[in-house]
Amino acid sequence: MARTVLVVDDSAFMRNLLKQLLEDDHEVVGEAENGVEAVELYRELDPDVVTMDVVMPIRNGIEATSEIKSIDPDSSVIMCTSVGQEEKMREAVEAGADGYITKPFQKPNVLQAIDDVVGVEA
Amino acid sequence: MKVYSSDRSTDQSSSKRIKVGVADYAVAEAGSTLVTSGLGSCVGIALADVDAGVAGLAHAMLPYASDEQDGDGGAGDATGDEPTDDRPAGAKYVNTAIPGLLHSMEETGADRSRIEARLAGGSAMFEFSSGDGGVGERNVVAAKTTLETYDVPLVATDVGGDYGRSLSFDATTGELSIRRAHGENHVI
Amino acid sequence: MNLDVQSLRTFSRLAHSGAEEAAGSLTTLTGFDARVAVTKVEMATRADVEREFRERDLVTVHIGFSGAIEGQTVLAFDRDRAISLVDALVPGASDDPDSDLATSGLKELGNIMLGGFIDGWADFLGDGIDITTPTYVELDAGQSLQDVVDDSEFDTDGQFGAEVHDDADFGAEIDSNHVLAFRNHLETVDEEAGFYIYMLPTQDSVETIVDAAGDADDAIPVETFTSFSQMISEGAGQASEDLTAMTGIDTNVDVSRLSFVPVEGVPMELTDEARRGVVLEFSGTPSGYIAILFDPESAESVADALMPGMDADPEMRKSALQEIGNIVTSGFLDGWANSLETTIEISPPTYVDDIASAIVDPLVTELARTQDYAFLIDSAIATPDETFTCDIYALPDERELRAAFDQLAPEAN
Repeated sequence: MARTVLVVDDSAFMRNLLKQLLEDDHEVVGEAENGVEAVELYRELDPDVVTMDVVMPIRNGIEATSEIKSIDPDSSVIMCTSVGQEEKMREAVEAGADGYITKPFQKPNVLQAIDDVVGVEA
Repeated sequence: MKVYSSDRSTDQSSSKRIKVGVADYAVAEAGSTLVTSGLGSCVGIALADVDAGVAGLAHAMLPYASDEQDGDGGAGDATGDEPTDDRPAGAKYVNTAIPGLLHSMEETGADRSRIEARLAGGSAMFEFSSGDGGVGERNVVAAKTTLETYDVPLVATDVGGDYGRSLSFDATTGELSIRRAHGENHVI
Repeated sequence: MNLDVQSLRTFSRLAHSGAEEAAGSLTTLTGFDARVAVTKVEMATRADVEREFRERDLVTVHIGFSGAIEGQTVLAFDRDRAISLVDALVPGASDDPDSDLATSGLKELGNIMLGGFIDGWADFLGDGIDITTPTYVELDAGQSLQDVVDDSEFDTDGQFGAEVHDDADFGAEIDSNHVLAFRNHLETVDEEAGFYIYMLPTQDSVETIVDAAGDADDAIPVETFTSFSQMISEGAGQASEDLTAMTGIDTNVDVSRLSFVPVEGVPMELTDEARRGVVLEFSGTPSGYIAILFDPESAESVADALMPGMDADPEMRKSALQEIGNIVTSGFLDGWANSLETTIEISPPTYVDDIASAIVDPLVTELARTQDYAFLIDSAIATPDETFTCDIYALPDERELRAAFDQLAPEAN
């Protein structure tokens, strides 16, 4: 079923790409370009799932994830990053991330990740 | 937390023109062309099962993996057997490149009994005082011997001389086109 | 700091597999079928790298990294290529290549490619490496990489400097300590024009990896590489002066580099177009091979300059090129022999007119019998008015070169 998604990425190009990729199956309800905006928009929109870039200006995705998780432990956050280092994946786990997609991603990966973390059923 | 990695493969098998580097080999299917540049003393070994539409091209530098090593650093030391990158292990040597390539071709659907070989390169461009000379010629001998060992018939050759060659191998027809710096292209 | 050949191999492998990741990302994102042609570890200065960006009119995306190791990574490509990339990433956006969406696409491409490039290094060290957000840079004449990087990273909102680095001298620190550059050439199947990924680690970072990978017994002080690079530059300078004296045409040294490459990577650095020139063998400490190559037009120009007004037959022109080869080689190697306090014998030149990569193939094959990696010295001497360009490739025997290094730095033993 369609989910509401908050897309967080400092790259306008990447936000566009994710929006296009998700538009048939889900609804992108907001876009943030840094970790601070991400937390603000999360409070405001309460999306089903967040796709979270890691390396962003002002506040990075790992910190933003920790904060979203502390606001709402039931939130679903999927890291979506070009960084595929094992150490960075451990940091993401500690921050509470539910999934980790490495860029460049393919559409089935992203859709599968969303189904896995929020469940297919309503 | 589950990790979703896309398949970032650099598999070229779907492309029309596939480049084979030095100390490298690759397999292609009908409709594609395998190319390799700058064979001097190196040899190009072109194998094809035309019925199955599977072809392979190897660009090998030295005749034998075993006896070229002197066990004193360099190619013979502990790290010498690791490929330096993603190129297939053993592709540097004629006697290991041929079985490696045959195996890859069979995995792609070639039938060993139908595979035919063409051979080009192995020229003698310089006479060095330090080297023990004739690497090109020894590469050709090693290729012929190894092909015989694996019962692969050698149907055409363009070897020796004192000039370099670049190759283009049509996977559909099994024709090997040979280009020199000067003069007409030559097809075997 | 000391460097050893085992560490250089590790560097080369990490850089190559990183570049493989990056090439895969490029293919996935843009559909360009890319593969890594050559990975070189260059004993280059940062200024050398900047000069290459400027001279070749390369468009670049930069990402800084810090943590387990620190420095800069750069994705560079030709300006024309940038436009075709934008088209593949954001269809239609190439109509306005300076638009935010167009540069955003290129930046994100750089982010993904360079992020993938760095991953393997972090995993090798078993530690994390932080990367910065990407910066898009078109380097103009008169600008240095450092200006650009400093501007983008420190004069804005402190998005990068504040958290990751507490010293604002980060850029300067890289510059003064910079000794190695990793240069990866990615090529697409259909076109020669390629992409380059550079990694410029700090000296401390090089040391970190040497500690993890190296063999201390075999180590050579890094200053030795620097003085050898210096010696190569001087040799190229002498060769350039000799060329000018003979032809009466002003020449400059465009490139003079010492790099460490897998042996099979050397021919792949050269074109498969025809080149004319000479191949010589040198022996002493070190021994090795040298190729001096001209493109056909340059060969004609040089022969004309040597025999002004003469209607020389082809044999005479060939002989003129052989003589040029002799003189350039002597100019190039004499300085080495003097610095190393030894003599280097040079063989008579063999004239060549062949596919460039095929010319160096037999030289590399000789070396490949005993070594997997080679120290490649490549220089280019050119006239400012582009009358001719002369490319010099020298391939010394690795172990003999190491012996020569010991000669350069006797205190290391």
